[in-house]
Amino acid sequence: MTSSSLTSKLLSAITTPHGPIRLQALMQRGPLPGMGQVTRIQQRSANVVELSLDVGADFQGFQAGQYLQLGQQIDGRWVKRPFSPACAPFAGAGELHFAIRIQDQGLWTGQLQQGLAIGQPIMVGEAAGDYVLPESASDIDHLVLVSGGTGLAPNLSLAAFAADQGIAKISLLHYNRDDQDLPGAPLLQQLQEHPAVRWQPIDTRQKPSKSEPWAGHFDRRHIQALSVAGERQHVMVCGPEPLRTAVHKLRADKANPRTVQSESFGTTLRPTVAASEASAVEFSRSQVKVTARGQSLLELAEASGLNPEFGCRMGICASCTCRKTQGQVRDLRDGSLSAHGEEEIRLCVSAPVGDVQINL
Amino acid sequence: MTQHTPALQTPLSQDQLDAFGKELDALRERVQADLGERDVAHIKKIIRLHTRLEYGGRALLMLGVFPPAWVAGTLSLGIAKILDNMEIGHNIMHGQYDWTGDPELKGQSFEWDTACPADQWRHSHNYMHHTFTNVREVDRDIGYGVLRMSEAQPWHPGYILNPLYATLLALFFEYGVALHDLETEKLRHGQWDWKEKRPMLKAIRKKIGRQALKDYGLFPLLAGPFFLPVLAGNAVANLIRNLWTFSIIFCGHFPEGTHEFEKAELEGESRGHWYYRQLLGSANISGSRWFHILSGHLSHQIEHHLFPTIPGSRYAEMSSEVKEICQRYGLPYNEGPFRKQFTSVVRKIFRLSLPNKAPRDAELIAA
Repeated sequence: MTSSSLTSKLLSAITTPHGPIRLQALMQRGPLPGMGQVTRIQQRSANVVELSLDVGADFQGFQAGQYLQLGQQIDGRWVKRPFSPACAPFAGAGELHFAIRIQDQGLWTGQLQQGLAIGQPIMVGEAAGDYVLPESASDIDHLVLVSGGTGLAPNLSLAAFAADQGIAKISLLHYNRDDQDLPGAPLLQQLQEHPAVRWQPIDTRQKPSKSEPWAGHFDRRHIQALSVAGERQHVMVCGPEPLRTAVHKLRADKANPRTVQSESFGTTLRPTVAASEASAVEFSRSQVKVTARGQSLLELAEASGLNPEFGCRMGICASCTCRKTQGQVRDLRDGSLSAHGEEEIRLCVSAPVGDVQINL
Repeated sequence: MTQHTPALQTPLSQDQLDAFGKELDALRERVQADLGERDVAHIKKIIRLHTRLEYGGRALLMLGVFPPAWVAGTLSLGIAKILDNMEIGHNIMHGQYDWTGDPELKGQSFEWDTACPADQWRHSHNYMHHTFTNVREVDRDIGYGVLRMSEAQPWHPGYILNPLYATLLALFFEYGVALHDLETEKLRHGQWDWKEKRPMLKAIRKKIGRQALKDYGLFPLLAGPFFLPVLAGNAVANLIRNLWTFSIIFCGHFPEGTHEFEKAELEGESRGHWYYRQLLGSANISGSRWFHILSGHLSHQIEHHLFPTIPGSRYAEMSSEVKEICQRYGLPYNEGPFRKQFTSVVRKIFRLSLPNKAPRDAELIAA
């Protein structure tokens, strides 16, 4: 046994059952496990804020292009939203950078400008998402990264990683209304100096013309202009829905074998519906999808052949507490509606309102 | 006298019970909707206080050869364990802070500084005791399978030692709680399925082992030559916690005036009747703010049983409304200072060590 593992075993044995985290919290030395600490908040433009967080040695890391759930404590509740870091991937202690668009009446992003202070703890969840380089990345001659708005963030991370992996040609095609709010600007400057990276911003407010072809909305000619006949291309697109659809229409042509991959933001679930309407419920760990009509999620899970833990079946003992990952539920006792995001719910007194995903 | 309500007879009609239940539901909803920053600030403050008291106490005990340091260290550690078990652990494990989404405050994964594995507690306490409060043969908190705490439990000569059993249970309360979910009374009656119990036994052994290693092994060893004072301090701190938690918990359901119920009353029980049963089966202890915190707000046992998932620190402000509602429906609200409630429990423990007296005799004469 190494001495460090002996020390950590001893530390855990004398701090049982809570572990050393309580002492660490009291001493406030750096971010706690599972948390980050705000190091910088900078307004990039009227509606984009750059956020930097310190994370500790326990940070599990992320793959380039993935997102992390960031949690802020708002009126006592941890509210989480997914954001893609705009920095090269790393694990362990380090600094994460995000470019975040302020949403109109957004609870989370609304807090960014007024509610956050340097040193404030931010919950940093595990990385998720499959918007990552394919395993056969070494076969790619030309990586085309297409983005719109803050969709640039994961593409910057991907470009940095791909350049590091030795992909010889990387094009960043970025469609934006306003070149002021370029997310992740420091990393972008570094990338522009990299010989393999071509940075091409495109102003969507301008009409394309002979003198200025890099204008307007997505056009296949934008990619063609950067292509060399015969190169194997992989196109990755992150941004609003119309952009993704337009890019997906690109097919491999004679000149270039091509694959397309995309990332979407926002929920695909149907929002709140009337209580009598059917809802699609997904029990994600069990990989069961069923239709619900007003009954409790506990009854629904049991009717679907699952065996969730339960006790009182009346909302007092908390035995059936489960994590709702998406969607909204109604409390069967008083009809009150839950929030839309991730939270713990009691299956026995919760009925789905619209489509819901449960970690069961 | 413990009162037995005859099956399905209440002073209220079903309509009144429903209205009574609706008023309590409305109170719960109102407080639930108001939960926020101040509730988190409270529990986080208590957790920080616990950490300071625990490690401050343990540090003082390292200097335990000096009697004042030993006394201060032992008290500090004892109070830390009380806070951990009562205000922090018991309340978090009820899911009272699940709405915060804070991993440290998550009911299903919290573990506490006592011999009982948290998972078994969540079953025996949150489900069995809270759903079937004071229902004979179902709620095993009536006498914990050891004591005679009810006239309805048939007397046998062994119960002469009821006061001794109670004293032993108080002294070793954490182990009593640890064995609670095992249903050891069934072992004595030869109704135990060893195969079924094995995983529970294993978990209990592991938890007791970890706790003992910390308090009776590692910390005393860290003190080197002062091994014994630290060992003694840790043992006394655990003892202080045991006596305190036993006293508070026994004052919750056993003082004179609390009711017991029969299994038959559970059939098709309405929400209103469930509230009614919780109210009649529980008793409050009056006291100061810190008395309530140290009791994990179980001193508001009535509010806790009506609203087990509402943070305990809200019970004091809810109690005036609960009292007012009870008054309007002509229902009793059992409340008294600690000395009164505890004396009442002790008297009951002694009285029930002997066979039942008056009522049965009276019945015989009447017959």
